[in-house]
Amino acid sequence: MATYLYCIRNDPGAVPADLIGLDGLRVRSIYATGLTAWVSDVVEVPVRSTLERVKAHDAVCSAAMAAGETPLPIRFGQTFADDGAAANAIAARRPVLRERLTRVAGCVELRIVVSHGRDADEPAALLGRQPGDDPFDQTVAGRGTAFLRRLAREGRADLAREVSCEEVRHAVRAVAKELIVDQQRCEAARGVSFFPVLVRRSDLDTCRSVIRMSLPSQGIEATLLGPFPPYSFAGDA
Amino acid sequence: MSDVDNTSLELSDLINRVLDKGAVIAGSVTISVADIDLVQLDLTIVLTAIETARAIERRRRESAESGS
Repeated sequence: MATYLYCIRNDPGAVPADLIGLDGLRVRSIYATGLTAWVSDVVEVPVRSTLERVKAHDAVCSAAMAAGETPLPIRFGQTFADDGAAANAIAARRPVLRERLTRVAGCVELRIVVSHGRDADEPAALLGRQPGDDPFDQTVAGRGTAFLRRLAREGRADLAREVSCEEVRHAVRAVAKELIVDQQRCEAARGVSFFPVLVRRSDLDTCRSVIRMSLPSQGIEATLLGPFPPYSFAGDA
Repeated sequence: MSDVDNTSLELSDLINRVLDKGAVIAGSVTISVADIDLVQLDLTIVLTAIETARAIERRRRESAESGS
């Protein structure tokens, strides 16, 4: 039976006794040269990505985060021949994994999602465009908004979404700069744009409050998700 | 800014996070389009994960074709 990998920790603490992973199999920890990995058996290799399995993977990483130290979450679907092969693979990457664990220590990931609705041809609708608006009128809207309108007018919806999301990201950075440890650029795909930020656990409530209070006053509609294990800051993005 | 009450958004984000992010130890992660039954979900938002899987599948085919 193969070994499925969920996350890696510095802390050798025990896995909660009732923690269940993919396909209802029990999660356990293995030692890997100074690091601890949370794993379970897996019958099917390669692992098919069903919704239930994706949820189970995330639940184990979240449980590891709740258990104390921030874990390094592993991308879905990684299996090894057995526990020994998993431990060897982890040991081979020990320096870089330790560095990443240090980077995310004491932190969680928040994700700010900018939803553009279902109409792929009207990204500027998010910005409240009215019929007859002059896309270059900078007296009412800012230069950024005018630029977005121009992109939308030219049919460059994907680019307009990305730029729009980047504007939100800069707005978030402006209001919560001292609270954000790290952040990634925006990603956009068919109606959803988002960007992740890394926040200290001790600053989580403050950061959420600042973002939630600040963005609406700037006319920005976004959804704040998290906290999550720091998937986006675990490397290999 | 709304609180999280949108199931579709949460699911989409969950899939984006778990399938696309996180450390890679094994060197390769096998996810093909056919493997993703998540496509069956009635999401109001198209999943980024599907795009990623298609890209992976395209690269795999191109690699196989160039190697043959």
